[in-house]
Amino acid sequence: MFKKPQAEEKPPLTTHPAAADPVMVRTRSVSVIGPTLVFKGELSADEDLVIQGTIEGTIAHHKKNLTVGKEGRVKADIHAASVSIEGHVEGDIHGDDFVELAKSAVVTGNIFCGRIKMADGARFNGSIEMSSQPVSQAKLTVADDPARDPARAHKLGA
Amino acid sequence: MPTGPSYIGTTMVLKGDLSLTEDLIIDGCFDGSITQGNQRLAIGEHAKVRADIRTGSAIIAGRVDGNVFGSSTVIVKRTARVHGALTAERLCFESGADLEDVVLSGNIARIDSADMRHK
Repeated sequence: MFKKPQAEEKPPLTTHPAAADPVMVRTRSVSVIGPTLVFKGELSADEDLVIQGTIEGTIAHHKKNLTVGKEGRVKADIHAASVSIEGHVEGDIHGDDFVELAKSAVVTGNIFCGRIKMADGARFNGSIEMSSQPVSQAKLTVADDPARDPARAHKLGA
Repeated sequence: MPTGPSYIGTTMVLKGDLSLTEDLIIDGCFDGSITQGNQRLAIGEHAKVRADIRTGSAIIAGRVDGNVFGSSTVIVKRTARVHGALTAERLCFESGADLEDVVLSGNIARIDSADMRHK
């Protein structure tokens, strides 16, 4: 009588390719590392990324936003435009724009950022180094000579 | 927070070992090994995967270099390019799939005119 609507049930993967298509055509704008996923190695991306699982290694994610969810466990140095932490991170965090630690965040490592927001209850052991200008540009003046890369210099208006 | 399968997007590049017990969709580049439970794996049309893969069932529409073991069904779409050994309880191919030097083991449920080339 109170039968569950069928839509709630997970569609079984059948042997017919067409029937399996919905899995394939699912499009997302955000990459997701799910809670059961464990990855050891190098990860790089140029799109928003949410980590709910476990990552060990390096994360190079320069232009977009990175979120470490509540269940996320990261043992890696993180480079991203902006970084939001709700889970555990062991490693240095480089947020070119900003770094945000939620109250559930547990971070061991150093934070390098332009702006920071830390919620009451967040656990953080390490140092914070903030640049007066966005980190990307501060780094550029020290490490990179824009004159060597005209395309980049033009982009930055240098 | 988004739920559902893990998703490796088009711009993502992963090098290393990955294990999980949930569905996974790969549209990016992966180099290493993938160990999955009895869940589903989808390798998108533009994905490039160089890995030994152990999964439940898989749909391959992109490029795979490596051995694929599926405990259930492996479906190879017409856009797929596969190089390696495919082992599954049930294998299913779409017409046009590019299978270069592929070794197949399992029950072949359907094979149309997949382009099978052996050196």
